[in-house]
Amino acid sequence: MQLDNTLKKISSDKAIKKKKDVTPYLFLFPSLLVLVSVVVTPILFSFGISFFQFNLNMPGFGLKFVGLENYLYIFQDQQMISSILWTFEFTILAVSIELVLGMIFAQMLNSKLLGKPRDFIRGVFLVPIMFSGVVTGWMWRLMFDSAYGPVNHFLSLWGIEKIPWGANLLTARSMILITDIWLATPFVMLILLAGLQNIPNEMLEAASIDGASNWQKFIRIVLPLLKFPIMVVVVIRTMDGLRIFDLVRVLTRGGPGISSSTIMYYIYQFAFSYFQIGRAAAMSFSFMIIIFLITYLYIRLLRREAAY
Amino acid sequence: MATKRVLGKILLWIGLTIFLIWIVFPIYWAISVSFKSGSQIYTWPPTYFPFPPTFQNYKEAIETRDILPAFRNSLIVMAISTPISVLLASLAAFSLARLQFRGKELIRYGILSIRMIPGIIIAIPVFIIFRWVDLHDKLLGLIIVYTAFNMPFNIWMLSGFFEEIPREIEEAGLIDGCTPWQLYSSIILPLATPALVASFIFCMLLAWNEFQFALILTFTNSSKTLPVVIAGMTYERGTFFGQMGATGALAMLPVLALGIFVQKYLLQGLTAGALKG
Repeated sequence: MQLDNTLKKISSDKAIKKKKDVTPYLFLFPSLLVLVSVVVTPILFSFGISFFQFNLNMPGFGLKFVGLENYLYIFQDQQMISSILWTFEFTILAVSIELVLGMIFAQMLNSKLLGKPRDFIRGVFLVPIMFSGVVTGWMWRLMFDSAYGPVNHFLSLWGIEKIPWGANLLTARSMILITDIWLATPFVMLILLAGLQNIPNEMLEAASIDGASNWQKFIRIVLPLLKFPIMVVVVIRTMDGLRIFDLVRVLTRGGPGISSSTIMYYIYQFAFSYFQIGRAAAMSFSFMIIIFLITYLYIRLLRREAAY
Repeated sequence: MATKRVLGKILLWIGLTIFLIWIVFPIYWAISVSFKSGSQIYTWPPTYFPFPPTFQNYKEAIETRDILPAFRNSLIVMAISTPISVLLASLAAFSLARLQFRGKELIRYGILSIRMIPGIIIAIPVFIIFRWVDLHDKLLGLIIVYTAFNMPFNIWMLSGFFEEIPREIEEAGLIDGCTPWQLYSSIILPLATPALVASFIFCMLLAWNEFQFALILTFTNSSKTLPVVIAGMTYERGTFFGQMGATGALAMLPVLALGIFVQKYLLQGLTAGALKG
């Protein structure tokens, strides 16, 4: 103990002396250089473009200063607004379903009744985590194929007629949602499972002795102790959900019409199908601010919870 | 009590079996499609076992599609961007986790917030800038972008791991007169090998799987990556399921093979950050 304190003192003395040292910055320099040139500069550039008319298809890009027009345009664009709404619907649905399913399966995998096969099953659940949105979307397109796909075959066993999944607003959206649930639930489950495994067994046993039911144990002990992993999962999944792009591109291309087009996909089309770079920049900028605000709220919530 | 246990066990296994089928079946289906002949694919009810299996789809896909160049491009981008990104990130993570300096919190939050930025907001200007500096449709362009995009996550994960290494070890080094560079290269790095492996794997996966930037920044065989080629095929209405299956299976295989060997590291990397905060 004595030695420990002395060591701490020495190192903190050193730390103070080091304050003017440039070494820490030297270590940071290469990454910061890359991040500033590939991320920060383009963002500033994008911010600049958002005040201009900038059309890739026009000579000299049709460059013209338009002030806030690109931003004001967002509020008039009904399609943009409806794709924002759908993106939020999607995120809320996906995150809550994934959280509930992830929790159920984490509980199952954490069960004492399971024993040895646990590692194997957990290994299987790692597979979707490694898959890309593109490969997953491609797989589920084969699954959802209306003429030859197994999903429709499965439904036909229950007397449901073949569903043209890509042809209706509701089915096209469900297709994206279901695929996302396949892709992300294992991630949610693994994080929650790791959290569950951190809960000391004695606590649960003590509660059992006091006569608590399983449900009471879950609500009173498990959930409060899992608060942190749950929040982390929710933050990560919310950000991913709001930014969903790959699945939309592969499964529906935003169709039918633009009804399943999420905000990222909508902006992408604006920029690279209609070549309205200025407007797309303004849209993506506004969207980034929304994402930052949501994350900020989450983090504040997390801090408040942590304070208790 | 004993019957309750047995009942619980049965229910548990029913639940887990459903979950396992839900995860495994789509993968099985996609791979099985790649071994089916046309008459096995286009039938109702669907054929669930591709028997006799055929390799025709693989042959056709490789001969008529851009799969081999795409495979090569994906490999090159992954092989170059990953080590650079891990190396640079480990330097930065060491500085953030172990050294004291002004502006540390600011830099830390700056790096974290880069993780939240939607790709498109960078993709638009990068697309234009790359056209000016002649980096569009070039593998080098993708390598630069992936190196940067892997960095924030890597720095975050590695600095978490570095912080867990007991201070005492490092302090012993300091007393012996180690410079920060020696601390980094001969004390921290060797101790953090599992973390480095984990971040290596995540970088590889991201480079192999990334789609949005690849879609925007590549146009021809000289730089198109596998995800771009697959995504391009999925919208040729209905006609090429076999070839689609074969291409997708080829993209999936390396990931599955990798997964079997690196499970442990993957788990560590995924859970480390989420549980510590």
